[in-house]
Amino acid sequence: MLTIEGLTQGEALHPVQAAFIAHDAFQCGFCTPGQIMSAVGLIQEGWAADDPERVREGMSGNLCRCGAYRGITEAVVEAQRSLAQAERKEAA
Amino acid sequence: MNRFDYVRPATVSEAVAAAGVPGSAYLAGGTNLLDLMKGGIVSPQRLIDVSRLPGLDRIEPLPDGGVRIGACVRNADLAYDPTVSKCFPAVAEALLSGASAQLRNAATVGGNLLQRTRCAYFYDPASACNKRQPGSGCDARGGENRLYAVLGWSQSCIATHPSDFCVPLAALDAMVEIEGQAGRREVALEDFHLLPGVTPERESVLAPGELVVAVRLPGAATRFATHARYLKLRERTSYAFAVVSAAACLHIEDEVIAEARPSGDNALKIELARRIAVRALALAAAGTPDHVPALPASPFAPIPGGAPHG
Repeated sequence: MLTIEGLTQGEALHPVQAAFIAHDAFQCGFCTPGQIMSAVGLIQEGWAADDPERVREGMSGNLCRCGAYRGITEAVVEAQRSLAQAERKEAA
Repeated sequence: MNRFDYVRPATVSEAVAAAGVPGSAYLAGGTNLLDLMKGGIVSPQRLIDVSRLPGLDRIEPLPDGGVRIGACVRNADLAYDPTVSKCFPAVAEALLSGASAQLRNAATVGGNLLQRTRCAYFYDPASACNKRQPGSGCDARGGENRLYAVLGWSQSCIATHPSDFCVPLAALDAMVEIEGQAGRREVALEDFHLLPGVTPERESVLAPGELVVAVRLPGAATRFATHARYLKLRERTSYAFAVVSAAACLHIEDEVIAEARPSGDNALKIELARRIAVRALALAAAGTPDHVPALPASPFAPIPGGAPHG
């Protein structure tokens, strides 16, 4: 069982956390742990890739009453790309 | 505090025996039942947890090329199963158009068949509802009811069954396997649910204590695999129940439609449903896509090689 508390490695933010900050993907922060964990799950399952339409569909179970959906979608797409890039580097 | 007993039987026969006690209800994914209990809509005295019963979480190939789906298989596991998405693509598309990723991870096949209506008057204890309290009346008939039934309703009830999954199941001749104290029996999915009539509180042919143990898709239904789609009109793009929906399954031989199986949901709004059914048929004729589209079941997705809007 992985929760938001276990996502960082030491002081380093998880790429999804970093992307949420970079893209202003939250305002009040209430829904953020759930949004981030859903995004981590979605990226791991590999279903959405970096298609914003698929990301929106895959993330639709998490509601954000501040309306940060645009930033959330951008953050998930970017995190997916940076994680894929890191994977490629590792494989090379 | 709403007190209830919680029982976790080890086998199907133990579960069926336990459910013989009046006031019992089966619990599987809980995605509908727990909400109903928290809202005071139902208050079972005893929950029989069937979610861990051995053998009910399997998807098994059948000798005839079909599949037998255990009642406790989760919606997401079923939709992403390689055999199911290849041989019964409309079933996968319907499942992925329902609810959200979190709910699909928890919700089960048996629970999907037995979920309660989404009629707002059923969920409001202050409203009259013959389904919740037989004989109390139906406030939906004179209320906000544009999402409810236009066919199959009665003076007692205009609620609909909210399942996406059941729509392609009906088109594909699915069978429901049922276990009860009198033994095992099976019923065609098409005959499983009851129209409201004068007893809207009775929603299926299940006798008290009977348990759905599996749903079977016959091998013959794979003849539709290359031209099968599910289409769902919602009030928002995702995470919503259908306004109307349709499954279209075509069996095409030598470029001729040998057989067509359209199937509509229980919420048929006649003209809307007609348009959705026509579009579902056009999508099915264009062929099942290699992958479930970004927005499963979206009526706004383009028809490959077809007119931009139908």
